[in-house]
Amino acid sequence: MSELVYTLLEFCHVAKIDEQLVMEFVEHGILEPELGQDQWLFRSDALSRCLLAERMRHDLQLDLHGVALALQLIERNQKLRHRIDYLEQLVERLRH
Amino acid sequence: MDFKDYYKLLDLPPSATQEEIKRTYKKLARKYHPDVSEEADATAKFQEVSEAYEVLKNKDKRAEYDELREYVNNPNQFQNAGASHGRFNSDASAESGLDDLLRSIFGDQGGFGGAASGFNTQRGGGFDSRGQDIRYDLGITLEEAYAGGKRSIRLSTPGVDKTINVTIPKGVTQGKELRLKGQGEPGNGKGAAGDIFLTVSFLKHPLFEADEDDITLVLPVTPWEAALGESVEVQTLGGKVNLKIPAGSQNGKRLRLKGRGLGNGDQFVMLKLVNPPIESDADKAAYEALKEKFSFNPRDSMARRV
Repeated sequence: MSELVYTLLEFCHVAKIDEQLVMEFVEHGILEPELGQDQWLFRSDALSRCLLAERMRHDLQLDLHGVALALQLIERNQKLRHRIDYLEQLVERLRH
Repeated sequence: MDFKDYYKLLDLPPSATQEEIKRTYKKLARKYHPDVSEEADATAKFQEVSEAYEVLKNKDKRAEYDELREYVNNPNQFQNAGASHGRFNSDASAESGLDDLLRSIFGDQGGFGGAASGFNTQRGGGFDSRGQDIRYDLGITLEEAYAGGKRSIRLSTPGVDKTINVTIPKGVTQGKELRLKGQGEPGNGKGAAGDIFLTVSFLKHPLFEADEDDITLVLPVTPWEAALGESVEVQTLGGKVNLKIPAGSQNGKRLRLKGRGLGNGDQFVMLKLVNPPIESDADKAAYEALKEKFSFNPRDSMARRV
């Protein structure tokens, strides 16, 4: 259940995003499908990344280079946030 | 729905150029977009801003909105203008907030121009459209994440009210997305049902902290256990194991139990030295004996650094 993979067509259908746009996301390194038997395969975690990319593109009117950069920064930010949460909890446990 | 002054929302004069509207929207979208904003009510604010922009960015919709705004601000001017209301019925008003605005002001009767049909936008797309996806935060314990397992959850949305069975994969980590294909809201016509997306989040654990697939346990030890070394029993997500504390350990030392985390992760044990409290004269004498014995100053290294 967790590691579903999609072909390009399935992926576009589920994400409700145009095939052309998904291909451009791939070109800009925003999505990195694996290459299986002559076709791209998208892992299920690519889906939320794709939807986030589309929101950045549409809502913030970024070009795809900007979208790629925004995603990189958003993800780094999330990682740092998780790390801070973890360290804060750890400090709490060390103090009490 | 009340009439909204889109110009006020964007903090622009009604005479603003299309270029100014676009620039202001971009600025506000960066400020309030829920994916990047730290503002408290970012989602609501962004919705307002994008609703305003949807209308104002399009010259036809904007002209229509300007007329409507004029009407709301000076209703008397329009007393004899019944015939002209028909103009609010154009296609431009469909599929935007303008549609709702018009309805809020003129009511749902469609009494003007006799053409109510313009308002009846099919929400959610055409007849054979795919059902909506359902998103749900799945809070699980670290034990469930470690061992995997099954869980029943009750989902209740406007289109769906059912209990679903979820398989939690062994070793799943925080933020992971699980998809249940075809179990979301039913589609329209021949459209397929949507999916359910579950985002895993960990519930607070009394002992453990998770950092991706690694687990940390803070283990209280006595000063002599740390100094002399000791084999102690510690909790892991998979049960109790023996851990050898090496002699000469200091506070905060991190020991690794390989493969005892989530999936391929490890468990780390962080030592926390706890001094026994003084409860009798004999206890006090024991501390004093230590003081006599050691000419140890832990602040020596600080003195060397300033």
